[in-house]
Amino acid sequence: MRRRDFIYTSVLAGAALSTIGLSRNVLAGGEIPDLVAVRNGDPDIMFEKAIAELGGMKKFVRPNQRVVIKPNIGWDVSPERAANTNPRLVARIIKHCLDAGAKEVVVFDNTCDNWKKCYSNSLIEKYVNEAGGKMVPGNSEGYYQSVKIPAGSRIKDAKVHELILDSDVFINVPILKSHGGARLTVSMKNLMGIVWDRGYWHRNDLHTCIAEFSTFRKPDLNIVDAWNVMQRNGPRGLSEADTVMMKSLLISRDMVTADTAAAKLLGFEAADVRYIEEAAKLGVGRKDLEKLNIRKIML
Amino acid sequence: MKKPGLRQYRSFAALIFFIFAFAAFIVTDETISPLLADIFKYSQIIPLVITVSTGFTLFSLIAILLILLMTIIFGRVYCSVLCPFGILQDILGRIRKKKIKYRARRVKIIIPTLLVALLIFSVLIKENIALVFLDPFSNFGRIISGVFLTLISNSVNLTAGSGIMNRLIIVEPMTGRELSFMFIYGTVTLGFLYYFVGKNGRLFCNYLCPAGAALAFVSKFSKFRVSIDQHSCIGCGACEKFCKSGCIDTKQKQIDNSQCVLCFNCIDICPSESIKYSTSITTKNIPAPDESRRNFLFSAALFGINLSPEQFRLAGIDTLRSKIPVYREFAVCPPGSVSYDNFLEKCTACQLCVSACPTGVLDASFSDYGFQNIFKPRLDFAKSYCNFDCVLCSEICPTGAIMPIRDEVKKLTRLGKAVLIEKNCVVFTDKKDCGACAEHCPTKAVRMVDKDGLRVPALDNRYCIGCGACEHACPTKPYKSIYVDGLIRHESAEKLKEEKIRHIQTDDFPF
Repeated sequence: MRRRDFIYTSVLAGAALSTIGLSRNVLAGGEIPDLVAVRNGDPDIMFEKAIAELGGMKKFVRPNQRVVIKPNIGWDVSPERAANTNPRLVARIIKHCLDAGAKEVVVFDNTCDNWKKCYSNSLIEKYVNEAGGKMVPGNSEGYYQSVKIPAGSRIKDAKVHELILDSDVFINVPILKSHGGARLTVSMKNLMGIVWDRGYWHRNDLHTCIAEFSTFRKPDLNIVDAWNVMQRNGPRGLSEADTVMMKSLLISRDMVTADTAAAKLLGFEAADVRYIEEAAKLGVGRKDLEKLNIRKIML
Repeated sequence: MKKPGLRQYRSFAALIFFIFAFAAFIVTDETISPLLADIFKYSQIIPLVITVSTGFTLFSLIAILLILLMTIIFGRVYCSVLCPFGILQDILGRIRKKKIKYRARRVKIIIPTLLVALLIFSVLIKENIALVFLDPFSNFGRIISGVFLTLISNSVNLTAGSGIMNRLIIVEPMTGRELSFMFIYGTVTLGFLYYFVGKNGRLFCNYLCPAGAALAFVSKFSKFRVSIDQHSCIGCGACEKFCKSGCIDTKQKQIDNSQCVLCFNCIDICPSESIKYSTSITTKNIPAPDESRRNFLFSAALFGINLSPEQFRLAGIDTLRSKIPVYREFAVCPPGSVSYDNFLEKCTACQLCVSACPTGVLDASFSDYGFQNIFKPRLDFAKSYCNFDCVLCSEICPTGAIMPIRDEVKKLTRLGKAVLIEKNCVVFTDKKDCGACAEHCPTKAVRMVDKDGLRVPALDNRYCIGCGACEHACPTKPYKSIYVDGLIRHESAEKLKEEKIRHIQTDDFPF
């Protein structure tokens, strides 16, 4: 009896210790950072570093869960144009989700250009399939379910892709770009790709709609691809001349934080972008970067 | 079991060809569509005649000569295995379970003469309205594209509903095709065809088809032909009842080979095996024709109702509504079609490009080019816009109405010019940012510029190619704030060139 008790307690203690070990961030004094920013690496490598700082993908994905990844796949252009999220980054995220035990990882976008061409020319389809994820169409209204936006004033309801509603984990993977109308597109603007009727947003105060819709479902993770950044003529861009190699990546659980930091990368302040201001006021997240715990990594 | 004979072989070959033809009007694929289209570009008489007469190409001429050669040797094989509209009629005849009994019809020589004259006349005066309605391939295309593609795509898209991940196979939704006037027109045509096929067999092929008429003259002299052995024939009349061309006269034991479409039903049914397909030549004079019954009711099927005007689709709970109606002077014709002159002269409205268009922006027109050009496709920006990186329609057009155009050229070919209506635009009326037009514009002819703390659209038509992305994306209702007016002759657009953007690299993060 004694012997068995002893083993029992040792196992428990061991388990407890290893749990603490995993969350060394907590022990190291800093809580989990609000924002991790990495520079000077390839998109997939920067992601590896950043997710490790957050305690690994296991913190966000539990075994047997379904993960939905929403990159920006809006345009029928090649990856060099930086109009769509980097395919290597998407593939690496999928790998981490599967390693964490995810049952399946699905990827979709409600594209602007013809969806099949976007999926294939962005190379995202190819990389997703190779990484073991699954591309799902987003181009039929039948996939979209009506939801209420309680905090909404201009946008009171929207039709949202059922994968967002049915999945356990939602990972938002925008690419940072300039945007003709909204000035820039990052995390919150990327959510326009999970709804059906974008036209309504455009004609009913785009900024307010973006901010109000952000109250609906906060992604579990926002991974901002700022490796190659379209600095003008966004979001479609005219040529590769519009892009700048920034070699950066941001991760945050807070869309407002991610977007505020991303705006600064493009030379904007949160105050320049009305939807960031409005979202912060609605309590979607925090834009006061100076008060947040930011982990900066230079590779 | 009976050994398969000529009739079975012919049915098999025809069915295979029909499947390809059907697929050509259903499939949208950058690789497969042009391959399928090539089969028909070089096998269909009316498109070939148009290609040869307007933009002479060697391959098309060779193809026509081969068809004529084939006809002079074997008879109207074209009508029996190479014409999808003819095969469609045979299939409809099969579907009609009722025992069909046909009767001999002697076609007066004046009918094929008039039809061939009409064909030549149409080509000479460059006005092809008659061919639009009489070309079998285009009729076939309008039925398959208008009826079957609409049904198939809508059925497929119905399955694209909730519970996506619980399905074994995720069916890819197809480009949406609406229940437009083409669906009604196609259904009515199909209905008429079904009725007349059951009653009179291949009536169309001998009374209305200009290709059939031309071949009728050639097949008069064909080497191989179906003939009745005068001695062994018991005169039972079975062959006449099964002859869908009505070309067998059992009293005289004569077959009019100019009318025969080589279905070989007669050979299959003949109890005394007296009908042969061989080189034997009958020398007897063809007797005087019966009173011919002309059924021109078919043309009644040519009327349709337009059920898809833009305004039917508009609904919403928007706070603002645009006030200035859009008046488009000219419809936009597809890239590669060069001009109204070229396009309208050659297009027989077969709808092959409409079926293949990946975005679905191409659709049959009603009165956009005038009623005399009904069914000829134009770009419908309410449905979609012309994809910047796509020239599929120009690769498949069988008549050269849409001529091949290289990708780089297409990207600088102006089909129309954008027009901005500021009084409709929410940026001006609501003082709120939008940017949908500039967002979609692939050439940055329209871009957003700073003005009074807003981002307002600015249009520079030097770069506009008229793809309609801005018009399609523009969210204002009921009237768009930016639209594309077509050009009757396409122009060259300028390419906006900008310096590579410079970025001041800092060592630290800006936060």
